Amino acid sequence: MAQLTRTESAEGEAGRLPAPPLAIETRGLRKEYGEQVAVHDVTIAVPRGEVFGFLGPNGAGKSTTVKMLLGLAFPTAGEARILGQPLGAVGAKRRIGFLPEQFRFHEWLRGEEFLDFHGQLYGLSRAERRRRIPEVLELVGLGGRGRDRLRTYSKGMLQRAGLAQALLNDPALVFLDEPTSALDPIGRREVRDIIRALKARGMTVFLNSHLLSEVETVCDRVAIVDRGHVVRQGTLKELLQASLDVDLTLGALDDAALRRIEEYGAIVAREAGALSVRMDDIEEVPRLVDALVRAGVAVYGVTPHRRSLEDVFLGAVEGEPSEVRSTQYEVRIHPAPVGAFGLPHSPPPFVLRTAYCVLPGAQR
Amino acid sequence: MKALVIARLTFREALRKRMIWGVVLLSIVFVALYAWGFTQVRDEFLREAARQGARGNGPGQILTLDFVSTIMVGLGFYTINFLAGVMTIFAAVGTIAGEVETGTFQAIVPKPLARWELIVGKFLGFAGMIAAYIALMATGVLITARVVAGYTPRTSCWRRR
Ligand SMILES: Nc1ncnc2c1ncn2[C@@H]1O[C@H](COP(=O)(O)OP(=O)(O)O)[C@@H](O)[C@H]1O
Ligand SMILES: [Mg+2]
Repeated sequence: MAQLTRTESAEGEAGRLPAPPLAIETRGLRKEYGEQVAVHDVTIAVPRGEVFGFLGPNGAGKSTTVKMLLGLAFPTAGEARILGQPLGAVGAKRRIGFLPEQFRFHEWLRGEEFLDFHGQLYGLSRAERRRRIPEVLELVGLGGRGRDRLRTYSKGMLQRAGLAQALLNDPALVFLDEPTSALDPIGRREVRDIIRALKARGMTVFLNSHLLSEVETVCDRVAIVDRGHVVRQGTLKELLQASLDVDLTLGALDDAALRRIEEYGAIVAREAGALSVRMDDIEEVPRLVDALVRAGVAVYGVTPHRRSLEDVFLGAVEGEPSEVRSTQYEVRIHPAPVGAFGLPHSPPPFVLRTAYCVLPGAQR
Repeated sequence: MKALVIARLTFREALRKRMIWGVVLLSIVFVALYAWGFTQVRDEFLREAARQGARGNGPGQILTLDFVSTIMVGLGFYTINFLAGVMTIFAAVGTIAGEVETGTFQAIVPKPLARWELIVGKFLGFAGMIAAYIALMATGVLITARVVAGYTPRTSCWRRR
């Protein structure tokens, strides 16, 4: 792999097995705006060729982090390397694409003129631009609209134009900040397909999103951010398999039987005749059932649930209380200053319902 | 040169500001008034010269039409200078702060170009526009002097025609 020798991280760890080359590597990134700390401490590693989901509620510091990585904001503290180069290196910038969150461009330009301008900024030759512009327009589903002025584009079309702009230089690493925020469900799916296609071409994608479903469907690796802190990080698989909840329908229980159960995992919910136990490994389930039967407890039903990313997310963002269920219950009855999805004014039940609609975790 | 890419866009954008066309309109009014005023001054001067001539004082020894024209052209340039200043302010004020605020810079700053290229490009774009404006206005004033008084400024005021 030629890429290996290019990254500093691989060189820096000479002697050990070469780590997978990193597209992004940050250590203790921090950004203060006066009194306010937008980003406390972000330490992440994004391997090349992966789709990395930066997931968090509104105001968590996702955009600020990306701005620091792109040189739009100077970090108050911490350091980062992008494509093996320090922040702000022009060489790395040549191979980076960025779709900003608040997508605003010079709306009086025609679509093609706009792309031509950005192509020039990337340093593409006239021939390259002439070849590349129709290509990216087609890719984002704006084929044939290049002659229209951006002013006449709908919000969704503008977002597509922004995406086209980010892909003009066929970057090695592309940052997408809430790329589907202005899109309808069909548009969202198209963007997901584009992201998958980019990954298939070996591109690294850094996806900022507060949409669980989006992250869950396209990302290889996820970092969950909350109030400026990275609270969870790992491959999607690792996050989802970290634990599972097992619903048990049981006959009469005595204290001894309860203690038995607690040897296998924490009891996260309990009603008459029904329990929910948080366990680490599905292989433990038959053993638990066996132990219950031995203890003389009647077992009527055992239903293991993988925790969905939503559970992991809510757990992480709410500070991982021991009871996920009660967390959800809390969301329902205590309107926190900012809801789980950063909808401060909407009544919490709406937040919950949205969560269930967007993320049918049980389908997985 | 990335700065030139920025300059070209800045130039085009500047031409889109309504204020600019307001100043241009004002400038056309100015040139028209200037031509009219110049004609009045010329006629007055020629009348006065003729009156003096009739009294036997001969044509103005010191105060020639060229001398009057020099003053008029100077006044014209002075006004252009002022208008160009107004134009510069209207065109360029808050341009960078504005682009930071609206967010158009968010897609431009991460591109492979240095900050100074962005600033220099902005400067060149506006400088180009103001230069074009000054050139046009100066041409208007000079043509007026030529047509009204047959006067063309010379590089040295001592040289005789
Ligand atoms: N330019 C700024 N000045 C002051 N505060 C800011 C600025 N940008 C962001 N913040 C604050 O930093 C926090 C994180 O914002 P942001 O990174 O935009 O969050 P996210 O993208 O995750 O929704 C928010 O509380 C926001 O109000
Ligand atoms: Mg954001």
